[in-house]
Amino acid sequence: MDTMIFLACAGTDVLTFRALYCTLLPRRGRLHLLCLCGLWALLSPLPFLMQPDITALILQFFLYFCSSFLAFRGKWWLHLLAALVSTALPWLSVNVLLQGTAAFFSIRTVELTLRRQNYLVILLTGHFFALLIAWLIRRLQMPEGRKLSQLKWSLLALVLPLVSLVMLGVIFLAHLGRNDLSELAFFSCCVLIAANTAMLFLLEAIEASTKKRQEMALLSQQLQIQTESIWALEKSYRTQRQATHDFQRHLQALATLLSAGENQAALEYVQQLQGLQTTRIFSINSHHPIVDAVLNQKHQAAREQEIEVQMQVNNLSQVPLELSRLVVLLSNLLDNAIEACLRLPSERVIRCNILLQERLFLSVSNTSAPVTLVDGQLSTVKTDQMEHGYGLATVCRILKQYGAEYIFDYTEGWFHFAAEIPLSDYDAQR
Amino acid sequence: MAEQIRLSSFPTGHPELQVLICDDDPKFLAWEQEATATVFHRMGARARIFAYGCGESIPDGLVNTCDIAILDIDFPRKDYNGMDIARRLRTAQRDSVIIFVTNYIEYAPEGYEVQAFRYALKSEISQKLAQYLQLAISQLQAARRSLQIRISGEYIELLLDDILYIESQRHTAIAHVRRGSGVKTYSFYSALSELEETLAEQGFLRVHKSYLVNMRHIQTYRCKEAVLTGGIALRVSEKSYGEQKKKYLLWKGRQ
Repeated sequence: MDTMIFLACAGTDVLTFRALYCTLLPRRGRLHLLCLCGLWALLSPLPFLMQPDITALILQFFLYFCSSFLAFRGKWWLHLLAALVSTALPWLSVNVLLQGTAAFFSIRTVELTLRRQNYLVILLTGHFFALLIAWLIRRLQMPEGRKLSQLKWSLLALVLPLVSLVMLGVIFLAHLGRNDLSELAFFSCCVLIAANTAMLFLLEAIEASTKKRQEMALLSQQLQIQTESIWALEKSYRTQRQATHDFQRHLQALATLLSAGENQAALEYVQQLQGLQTTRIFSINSHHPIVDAVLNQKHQAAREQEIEVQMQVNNLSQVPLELSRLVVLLSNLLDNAIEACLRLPSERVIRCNILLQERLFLSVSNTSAPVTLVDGQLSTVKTDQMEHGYGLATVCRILKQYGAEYIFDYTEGWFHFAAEIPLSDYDAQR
Repeated sequence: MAEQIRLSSFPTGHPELQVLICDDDPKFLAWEQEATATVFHRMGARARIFAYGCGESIPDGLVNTCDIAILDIDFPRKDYNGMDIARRLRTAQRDSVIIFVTNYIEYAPEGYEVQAFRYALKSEISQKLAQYLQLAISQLQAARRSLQIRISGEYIELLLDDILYIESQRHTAIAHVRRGSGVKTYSFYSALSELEETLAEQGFLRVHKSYLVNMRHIQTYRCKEAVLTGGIALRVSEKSYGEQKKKYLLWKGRQ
């Protein structure tokens, strides 16, 4: 019976470890499963070999910390944080339950631990409770593989949990050797746990609020792009109507000349017409009407500014990306390229590749004045950060949402952007 | 034994560039022929220019040896267009440079399929021709660079474009080279790090301590493996994956 319960406790500890780590760090594929099995095998005999004291805790912490590098990828301090929480959570949970039960029944803790059956039940319940908390954290917190965005905010968020751990440690040491936990100490433990849990929900609310703000900015930008598209379409219709009207007029003139037998004059007239340029002499036909609409519009805008544009597209009809995000992505990249070219007096060139292969490959290169790249990101020259700074920031956000790999670079007068976007969640994890 | 990269100025087998121009407008065709000859003369490059008014009259011999092709796209009175001519060229010659000169440019999957190098409007080609031909020559030179290795006392030249990847086994380097529909291997003494230093600028990427891969032949490059032309799958270094993937993306964007 004891063996079964200790094995179950070790199992729940491993699951708690997995849930907490998956919240913070991406897994290493099959190696991760092997590591979990190994960890369970190592944790299971611990209760038989050691007393559940500080030494056992430290050993458990080191086991988590070392094995985590085999199972998960990420920065060392994230591994440390996750190992700390994975060790502390089950221990805290069991001790709080133990002390609480003892206080509730007005018996001493040591007396409760001597009641083997009751103690084992509390032990198992405590471990399952810890697993439940870890599962809730996993469900309510960041999705798998998403890293903490800003180190300074992450460190700030660590303050309360670390202080709480210290306080719990102080309470534990203060009651070392005593057989019961004072009501005040028990209340303090509960308050600390509640405060930490509340903070987790608060962090989640802040993240959700930030995400909503970003989505609002995205929607606002989509609206702006759609408005521009409508005006561009209106301009195209107007040009087409004029061209049709002119075409009728030219046909009439030719008919008149030919009826009058003035063949030479008719030929000269036709040659004159051949020299006329039409406004729409370029077309992008990727078999995706929305992509074509965006690319044609941007291409036209670039040509009007005397920017040479070279494009390479293949059949994009099966691109599975969400339309609105795809439009925002392409519009922002090409707008950025056009703006960069406009700052140059000459040699204005944009090269764009959009290729649907195993993944979607996207690249935009343009001639540009020197730019400063900070951590591989372009720092905007615009003063209105809230509105304009969202351009390339939006691009990066969309790419991160798709799990894309991307790079910005500036070399020898050219600004380069290239990205590879996975076409499925499964592909994104490989 | 140190390996050398030999840069060939012009395609092997011919003393001069073979340039094909095809346009159904006789006046424009004549202008193109003269303008192209002038550009090459100014560059000091030797070239033979062949001009045709229709695609059917282009002989197979020229299709197989053409280095640069300047093609119109629209042939209204014919049942083919410039893309069809380009396909014929591309099937015969993997590395010839194709420039489309037309009144109406359409960027479409067909252009990607034939690996069109540049598009130019007829109204603008006079300003762009010299630049595009210079770029075309650079492209040809890059595509026809070769690696000279020594095996059993003999020097062998391997076209860089044909090398899929180079593998390191102890102190031996093994080049896996495309030959027809198969792959042939060449073993020679060289450190992979030396080869990496020499070939990094030529589009080769060290994806693993044992593999130096030709990026032209990468079909997919993920954190666990790289798959090359012909379905060859190679392990990649997880540690350096992030950095190397960025280099690959930048290189691919410049193609």
